[in-house]
Amino acid sequence: MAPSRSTSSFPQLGFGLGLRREYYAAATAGAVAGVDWFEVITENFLVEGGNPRRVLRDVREHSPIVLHGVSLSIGSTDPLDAAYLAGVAALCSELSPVLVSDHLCWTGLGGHNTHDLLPLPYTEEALAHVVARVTQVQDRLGRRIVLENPSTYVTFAGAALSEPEFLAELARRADCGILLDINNVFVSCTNHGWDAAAYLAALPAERIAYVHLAGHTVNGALLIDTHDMPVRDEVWSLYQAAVRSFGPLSTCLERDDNVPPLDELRAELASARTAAGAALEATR
Amino acid sequence: MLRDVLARFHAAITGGAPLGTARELIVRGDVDELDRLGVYAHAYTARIAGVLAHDYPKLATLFDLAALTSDYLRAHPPAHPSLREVGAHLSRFLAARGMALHFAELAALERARTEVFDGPDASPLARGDLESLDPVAFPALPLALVPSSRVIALTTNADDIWDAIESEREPPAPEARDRVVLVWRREYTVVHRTLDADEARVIPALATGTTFGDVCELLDAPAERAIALLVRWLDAQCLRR
Repeated sequence: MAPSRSTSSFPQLGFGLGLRREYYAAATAGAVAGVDWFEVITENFLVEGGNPRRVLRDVREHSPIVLHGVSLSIGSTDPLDAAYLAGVAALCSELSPVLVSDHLCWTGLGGHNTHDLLPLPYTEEALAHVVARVTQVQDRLGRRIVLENPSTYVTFAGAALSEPEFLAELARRADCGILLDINNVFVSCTNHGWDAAAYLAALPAERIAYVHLAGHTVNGALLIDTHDMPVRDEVWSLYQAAVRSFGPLSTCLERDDNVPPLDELRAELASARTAAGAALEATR
Repeated sequence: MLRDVLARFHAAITGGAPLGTARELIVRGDVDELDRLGVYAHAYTARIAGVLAHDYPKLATLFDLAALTSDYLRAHPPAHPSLREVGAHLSRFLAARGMALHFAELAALERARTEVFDGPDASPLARGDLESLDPVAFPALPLALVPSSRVIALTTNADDIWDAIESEREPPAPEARDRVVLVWRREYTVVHRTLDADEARVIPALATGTTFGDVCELLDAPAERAIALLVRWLDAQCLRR
């Protein structure tokens, strides 16, 4: 039976959207019907001024905000970027985001940023390394952070842990949260022949801060996390399985390419609300 | 050990080593290792090509920026957390590559527009601020450009080419022209203007901060001209309060 109340130790946010440039006008004009909160890409707002900062201030007037970064590079062996962290800390002070998230990945090495979310070898060495860095980041920001499972296309030889085991242990040891990207679970499980149900079962419910929903593309034998189309049926099913396991989940719908009119994405977000409700109802 | 694995993977997907050198790091499964690694190698170049096309929309209409992306990344590997900085060296790269000068200058103009778009905010000096100023105080009036501004010296008609592409006209043929363009942000809108010759002479002083008296001296023209320029700058909102 699904827990009727959230098992997460993080605040319940409801249903939100990734804020993209195309939605700035609507999101700054006032609360957007059906959208409980917005997730913004941190790096887009690590700027000194101008329209981006104005947008953020205006949106914050009407809606809770989650900062979602792509350049923390928590898994890299380069030192953490102090200037970057100072920028994130300043944004946190200014906006009081409900959550601050990034990815379980690394983005560069030797000062050379690929601007991609690169996979980590799930070894004990990597786990200890990432735990130590998450602790550093949380100490710097003075708050818990949340890390997202990536979509991956390779797994490393010699891995000692599965991805969900790595995430669960990381969250426990570093006392951080998990951003469960349902589409990424589906993509990675398909690409590597993992069992998606077992993946979800390995995660600690209380650590799940929120979930992502997005679309992906089929590219030959691999699925690619493209965020350029609606959520696929298989991902909706997995989302409902997650709700049945974990109870109500703060949910964010992402679209980064082929960005549709806001009403279209709002309708898809309403579908998420309906799907979550049905999943909860079916187990009562 | 971790650093070694990451370094070999990083080199392979960014072109620092053949893709196959990372083959032994990863599990094959049902898909060939090179196909798996290729997803990352492709994404690296494709993402940056997309950023360049976005940040240099006018330049992208003149030639295939994507075809240059791999060479650009080798010359200027991204080092900043923000994608905004990825294309910061494009003008220098195009010049060093020996391409026609108007390409590099158009890139410089487009880059300046990107930089002022989200540069620091500042209240502009307005006519109203000067209404109560005693005329004898005008020579000492401090004048400085708003912080979100850039001064671009051109040796070609890259500004005309920009204008033509913006208004969907056929761009003029490239020509040698000595010009100075001021790029700035008027509240939240990025604008630029090609300066008059005498105006161009005083703009460097305005960029670092000067006084109205010094502007008059630099212009070496009747006071009416200095006043006309001051009014133009006030109306353009390019001076900071």
